[in-house]
Amino acid sequence: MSRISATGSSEVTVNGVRWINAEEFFAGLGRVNIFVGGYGSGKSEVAVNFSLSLAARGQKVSIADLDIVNPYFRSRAARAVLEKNGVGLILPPVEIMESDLPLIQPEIAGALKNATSRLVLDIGGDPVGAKVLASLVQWLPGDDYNCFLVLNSRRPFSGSVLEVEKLIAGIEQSSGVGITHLVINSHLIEETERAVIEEGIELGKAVSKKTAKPIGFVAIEDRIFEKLATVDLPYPVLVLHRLLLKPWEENEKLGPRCFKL
Amino acid sequence: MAKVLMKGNEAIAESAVRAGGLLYFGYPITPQSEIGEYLARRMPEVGGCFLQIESEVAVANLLYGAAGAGARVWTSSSSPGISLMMEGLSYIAAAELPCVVVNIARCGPGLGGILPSQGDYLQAVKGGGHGDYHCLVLAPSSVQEAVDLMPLAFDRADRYRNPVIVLGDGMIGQMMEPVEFKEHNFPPLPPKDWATTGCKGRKPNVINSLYLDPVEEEKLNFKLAAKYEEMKRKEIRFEEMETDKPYQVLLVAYGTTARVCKTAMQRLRADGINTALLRPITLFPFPEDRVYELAQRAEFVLTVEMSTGQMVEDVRLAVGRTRPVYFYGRTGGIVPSPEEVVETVKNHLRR
Repeated sequence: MSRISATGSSEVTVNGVRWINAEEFFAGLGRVNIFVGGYGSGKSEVAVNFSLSLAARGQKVSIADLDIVNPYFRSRAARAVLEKNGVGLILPPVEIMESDLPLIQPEIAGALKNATSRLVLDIGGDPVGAKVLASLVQWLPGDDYNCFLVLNSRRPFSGSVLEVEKLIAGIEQSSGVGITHLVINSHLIEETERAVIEEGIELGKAVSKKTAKPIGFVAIEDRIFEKLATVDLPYPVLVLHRLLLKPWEENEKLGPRCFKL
Repeated sequence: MAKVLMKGNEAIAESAVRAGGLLYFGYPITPQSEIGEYLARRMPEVGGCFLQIESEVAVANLLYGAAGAGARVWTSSSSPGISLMMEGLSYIAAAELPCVVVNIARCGPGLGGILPSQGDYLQAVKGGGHGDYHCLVLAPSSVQEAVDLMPLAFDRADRYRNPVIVLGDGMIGQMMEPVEFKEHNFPPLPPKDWATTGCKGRKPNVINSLYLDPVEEEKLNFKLAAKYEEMKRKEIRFEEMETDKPYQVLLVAYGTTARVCKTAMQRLRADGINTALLRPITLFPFPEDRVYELAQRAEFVLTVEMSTGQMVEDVRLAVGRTRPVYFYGRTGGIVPSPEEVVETVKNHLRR
């Protein structure tokens, strides 16, 4: 197992979101970045942090919340932080935002065609949530996109190569979009230990070997990252700052009111 | 088994499967549809049955029939769906049948919205359906506790031959927390010699709730009442925090709002205000004696709920006029924030 070490690597910090070893990754990044994955794998949290980090690099970026299956903890819950930091929002109208209607914003097609701005798509979980992509495939910009599969090995139906292969096949079939990269996001929230992250990376490697889909990056929550003594990975690391919090959780950087139902 | 990260809904489903709840009938409704979705995938792996049926009315009647035949049965729904089951639940209580009903409550009344609420407290605790009956009501405050309460719910349903309600809210159902599934060992249960399992070689068993003879009907009512009294003696469960030190204010809250109160207590302590928390885990039977005792050491009691004031009625019954009982609630799916609780405590202390 690789030692994890941040020493000697390039580091960019903004809004509490940090990237390590990511220069090459950013150089090859497509204009449209799609986040898919199993239900509850952390797509929204990763997509929100990813969008913030693009904006912080001075890039024009919008995020579209296309979650049509999950009723709570969607990226729209972080809209205040996103807006404040210059991330464009493509969200359902406010008066029906807190519903479980399968809403797809009409402006999404325009955003997919707009070559001057990056776009992040936060897609609902499992093959059923990924269905929404099927209606957007026609506007995807040729090769200028990445489709990231967010993986948490501690989530149900995501712990083995076989299960992940099944998930990939299901998502690709229902969306019509090929997954280009894996994102390793293994965690147990505050109970995450090094072994959980290592286990996720090992699973990612095995899946990668089987499917020829490379690991795009590894996501680690900042509080956990700070506890890891050494970090040295052959992958970019997104040190994320949790924004989709439970109502009683404290977020010392943003204040307790950043997530409010 | 290693810890896994689960949504409350998924964890409830998995825990029920492990507790032998292999017969599930349901109809989808947000914010608990993941229970059915999980079971549709999981039940075939364990030889169980997931059945999506045409309505919640049908669900209640399926529970009645399958429980009558001796199976370990359960369902889940959210507020409006639970209301539809109320007639059947009354019949189930009258026929003394065991089953588990999970309510991942959403805001109401009426169709309401999909966000969390504790507005179904009175329905769960005071009957809900018609007639003199009670359900044992368990209220988890974390995903792990939801996991741990499911086997207890099934065991007590069988032991008392009575429906057990697990009352959560959308936040408990939707949030993710790390959980582990432990082994639970309960004393052996009496055989279900009352079940309609085929009467070859014995007298037929009849499952019914029709009593046209007033004397017989009253006998049933007294028998049920004795059962609820036994629950009051044996089943009261609660959690206490900071009750071993002097405190000015006693907070009473269950489920999601107890989590909010715990954060508020830390902030209040930092501001030099000592509070204690009593968190009922059983809502029926209600920990009334303990609420009374703990209230006597406080200047006042504050109940926090996601409702306009439901459990506070039971808190006031327990405390009587011995201490002021105040209430703070949010509705519409809005979860009270820790700072709102802090401010409310401070405002009452200033008076």
